[in-house]
Parts: sequence; structure tokens; C-alpha cells
Amino acid sequence: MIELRNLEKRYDNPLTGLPFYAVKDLSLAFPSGEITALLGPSGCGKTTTLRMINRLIEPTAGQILVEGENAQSLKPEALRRRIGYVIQQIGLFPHLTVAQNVATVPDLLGQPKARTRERVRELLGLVGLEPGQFETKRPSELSGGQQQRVGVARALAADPPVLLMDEPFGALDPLARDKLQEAFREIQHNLKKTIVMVTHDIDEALKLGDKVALLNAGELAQFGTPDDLVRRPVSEFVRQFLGEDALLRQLAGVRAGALARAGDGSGLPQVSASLNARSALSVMLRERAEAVAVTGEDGQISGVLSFHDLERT
Amino acid sequence: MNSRPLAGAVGEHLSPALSSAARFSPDLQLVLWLGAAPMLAACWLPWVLLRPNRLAAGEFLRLPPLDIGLGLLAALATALAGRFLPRAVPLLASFALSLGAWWLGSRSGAAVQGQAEFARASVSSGVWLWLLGAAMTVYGAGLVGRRLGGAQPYLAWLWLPAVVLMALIGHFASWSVVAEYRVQHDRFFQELGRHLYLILVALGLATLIGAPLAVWASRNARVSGVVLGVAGGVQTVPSLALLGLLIAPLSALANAVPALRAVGVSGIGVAPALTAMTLYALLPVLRNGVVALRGVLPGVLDAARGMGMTDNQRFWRVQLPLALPVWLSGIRQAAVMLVGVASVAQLIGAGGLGYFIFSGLQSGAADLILLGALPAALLAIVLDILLRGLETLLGRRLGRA
Repeated sequence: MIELRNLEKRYDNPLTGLPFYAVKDLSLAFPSGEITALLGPSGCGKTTTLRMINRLIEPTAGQILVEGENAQSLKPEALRRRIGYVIQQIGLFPHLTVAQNVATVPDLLGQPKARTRERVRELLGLVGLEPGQFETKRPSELSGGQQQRVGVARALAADPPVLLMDEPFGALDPLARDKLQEAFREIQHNLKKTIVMVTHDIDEALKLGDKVALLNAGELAQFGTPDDLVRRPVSEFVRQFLGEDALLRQLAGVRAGALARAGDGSGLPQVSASLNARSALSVMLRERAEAVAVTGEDGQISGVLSFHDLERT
Repeated sequence: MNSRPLAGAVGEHLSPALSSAARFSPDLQLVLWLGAAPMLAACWLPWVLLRPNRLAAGEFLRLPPLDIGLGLLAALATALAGRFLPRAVPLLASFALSLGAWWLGSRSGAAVQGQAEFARASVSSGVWLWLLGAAMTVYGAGLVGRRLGGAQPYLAWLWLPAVVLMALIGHFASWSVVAEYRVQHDRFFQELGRHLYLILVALGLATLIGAPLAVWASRNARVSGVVLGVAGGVQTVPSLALLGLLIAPLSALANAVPALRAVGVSGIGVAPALTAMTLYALLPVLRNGVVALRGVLPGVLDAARGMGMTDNQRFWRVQLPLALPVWLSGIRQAAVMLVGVASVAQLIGAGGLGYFIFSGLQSGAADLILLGALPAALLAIVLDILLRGLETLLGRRLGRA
């Protein structure tokens, strides 16, 4: 678990001497084993907050506790080696092979080479890259999506309990982003890391975040589950930022199969279980139906999704 | 990744079109004609200047009529092949350059045949013009060869073994420059060695001093302003003036500190020459160093810090390897420039190939000037090629290429 206590980052304007607060009096607890999305408009302090957690930026006031330990009392390098870090521009080392990139932190920690090599192969497999094929390649030989997979593998290499991600999927095209988000959700389902993910993409925050922390001008606007933000916005800012179609955005991140219930779907319009719930809703509206039948990969009806089920998101 | 097979398929469809582009590309034909024109003119110009001794006035000798015909044919064929038979261009261009070298040897040999021992056969305007033109067609042929692919680019280099072979069998023995070389054989290697010594020591010193300064400057805008400003200022002083300027302070230093005089520091000689050359080489080493170090992507450095590398680890493992290929190109520039500056060093008694150039100038012996100038030019080219090769190698190893 990561806990922020009255965190503050103040910059003083050198000309006027006036203070500017990038982050102001921020108290927040990122729950263990869950993804918390740090969401907000640009300049709201979300990246600054993230970078203060592994002390790439030093706070001007307040405290950060990582796994109960005061981050300020640790050596920055030691702290960072215990925290996985993935950034938007990917930041792979272009002069090293994929395997060497992934092995960065284990090597810094001085772990035995043979074990690291084993670990690298395991991680590449985990992120969906065939080790034999990719180990010896250079980052420049990979597509953007493959590079970011390597970036995730590298962050996980030393098995850190905590992962910080700064717009990890921001530079990818929509198709690659979707695929990688799916793969990432799958990985996290098994690993249960404590993840803080900065994003300005509302869809991504609602789709991947177990919790969402919405920041505005350096202060916390709302912290809660995606449901809380979508259905129970605490302020006008939250409502406006998410937009009136927030519910639809949320539905877009859920599979129809995940909401369907057992039932007799004969005679209803059919949708594939892998379709997202927003599209299923669109089908209901188009077909003027109160429910649709959800079909599995084999084409057989596996359940029924009714209009009321959509409210259970 | 996905675009690769696509690009291959497109390339296959395009390759016939590409070879016709090589045939009809106007720029390549222009290069070939620009080379053929001086060759055509050279056929009519004097090839050899025969003099009873190295300083006397002499008579100009032209090519025999049969050779003129062959020369015209070779020049025209090379240029026209660019239009009608691109595959023949590399071979023809190599032939033209080899022909010029062959005539250089055979014409000067024919000239001194039966003459007294001190007779000298210098090459004249025809040879220079021909070699210039032929070199241009070889350059064009290299471009044509690269478009044609296969073994074609290498055919454009066939002249090199041909000329080396001619040199080995003593074909150029009658050429006046070689005659000068024979007289000064030992001195030549001594001065060549001195020339190389000056270059390598100055380059080493400039790198030793410049590297830490570049690292410092790359991290601090104020330092980089001062350091690059001073190095740029030094660069604007002409090399001759800089050598002169150093005489006073260095001789004063040597007088004040006898220990320095004992190790060879004085107003003239090797010490001031090395000082000036080191100062000159500093700017390219510094400038490229700063540019290379700053040019490393910020995301990569941020990732290195975020992974938990210390500042030292980040510099040695990430920033320096990524900057090295670009940095090396600055060292290459410095090396090539130093070949020229070292030629002037003779003026303050530091020796080097400048010895031949300046004694040739003083005695009006053009052959002696060439004995210094030609090897210096060759040295610059060879250094450039070697260091460029090292750059490419490092670039590939370090993932920049």
C-alpha cells in the first residue's frame, strides 16, 4: 500500500516570488493489489504526484509511505529499485537488447545472472512476447506495442510490489492500445500488484482502474471506484470532466459476457460475449429489444443481457 | 514491423524501374559528363614536363596520337554508358582512372629514357585534369553501382588494386616526385612519422582535456557557453598566427621554469606545435561531445533514473554509450583538420610533411612540394575512412544505426 499524507509540491516563481502549487495538501491511500488511476486534465499535478512517489521529484511538504515505510528515509536509488516504473515514451535503452533491457533492475540489484536470464524469459512470455524470438532484438526492431510490452516486463523484472505507470499506453494507436490494455488487465489479475497509473484518458481510467483519483489544479477532486465517479460525482467539476456520457464510457470498458446472466435467450437479438457492453446497448436500441442473447466463442447462447443488467456495472 | 514485408514487395516491383532510373537519372549523367569533360580536354594538354634537372626550365611533352585516340574513346564511352549501358559505367570509370595512372608512369618513363641522371619528368596539367575527371566519374560510378546493386559498387573500386599494383612493380619510378622520394627516402619516413605523431598526440590530448569539459558543459548551460565560446574563439585565429602567438609565452615559460625546458618546452619546436594543435582540435571534440550528450533522449534518461540507476551508472551505462557514435564524428573532424594544421607546424621547427612543402616552396621545386602535399592529403582521406568505419561499427553495436 502507498499512502500520501498532506503531500505538497510548491514552485516559487523566481520573478514575482509568488508560490505555485503543482500538488497541494494531497492525502490519499492507494490500496494494495489494486490499480488506482490518477486522472485529470493536463497540469493537474497527476504526473508530479506519481514522480514524487519514487522521488524523481522531491515534495516540499508532506509524507509518502510505501509499504508502511517512509519513502524519505530511504536512499532514492534503493527506493526506485523496489518500485517498477513504466513511462509513456517507453524509455527502453536503444543500445541494449530486449533481454538486457528487461534485466536492468535485477542487474542493478546484483542478482545472479542465471536466475535473471530465467526470469527474463518468464516475463517476456508473461507479456506475450515469444522469448526465443525477441530476447536478442533491439528496441528499434519492435513495434510500438511490442516496445511497451517490453517496458512492462522490465518494470516487473525485480518483482516489485508496487508499479508506477505514467501514461503507459498513451503513445500507441487505438488498436494496439486496446490489445495491450486487455493483456495488462489479464497480467494484473494474476499478479495483484499495487499499481498507480497516470492517465488523461477517461476511458482508460474507467476501464482499468479499480479506483480512480481525479485531480484538479493540484487538489483531489474525488477518490473512489469508477462507479462512484460516474454515478455519484461529488462536484460539478467531476461531473463535467467525466462528461454526460460517462456511463457509456464505463460500459465501453466492460464485456457483455461479464454482465450477462443465465437465461433463455431464444428469439432475442444475439451479440458476442467479447463485445463491449456499450455496443450491446446500441444493439438493444437498434433492435428495440429489452435484452440481447450473449453467445460464446462456439456461437452457442451462453446467457442473457437485459437492459437492467447494464446498471450493475 | 508490419510494414517490412510490404516494403520488400514494393521494392521488388520497383527494381526494373529503378535500374532505368539509374540509366536516365539526369543528375548521375551530369556527374559522369562533368568527369568526362576534363578528361577530353586533358587529351590535348601537355602530360609531362621534362627538365634537365629539378630546377631548370623544360619542355612540355604531349600524348602520342594513338593514346589521344584511346583517351578520347575512354572518356566518351564512360559518359555515354551512363545513358545507354549503366552496367558498364563502374568498370569503365575504373578503367579511365587506371589509364591515367598508367600514362603517368609510362609517359614520364618514356620522357627520361636516354636522358642524363638528373633529368626530371614532372607531370603536367594533362595528368591532373585527367585524374580529376576520372575521379569524378568514379564517384558517379559508385552512385550508379549502388543503384544497380550486386557486385557493381565494388567494380567502381577496381582502380585501387590496379594503381597499387602499378606502384608495387615500380611503374611510377621515373616520376619526378618518386625521384625526389628516392633521394630523401629516410627523411620522408621520418617526417611522415613526425606528422602522425603530432596528429595523434594532439588528438589524444584534446580528447583527454575535451571529454571531461564536454561532460561538464553538457550539464551546465553557463559552462557550455564559456567553454564553447573560448574554443570557438581559438578556432577563428589562423593556425599560422596561433603558432606565432605561442612563441612568446612558451619561451618565457621555458626561461622561467628550467625543468620545463629540460623536458623540451620552448618557443619553437614540437611543444608549441602540439599546444596549438590541441587547442584547435578542442572545439570539434567539445562541440560534438556536448551535442551528443545532450542529444540522448530525455525519456531514456528518465527511465534510467526511475529504474534506480545512480547518476554514475546512468552516465556510464546509458548516456555515454548512446552519445559515443556522434561524439566520435567530432574526433574524426578534428583528426582530418589536424592533418592540415600539422603541415604548417614545420614553420616553427616542429617537422612533419610540411618540411617538404616548405623546402619545396623555398627552392621553387614543385616536386618536393608534392612529396609533402600528396601524402598529407592521402593521410587525411585514410584517417577519415578509418574513423568513419569505427563510427558506423559503434553506431550499429550501440543501436543508433
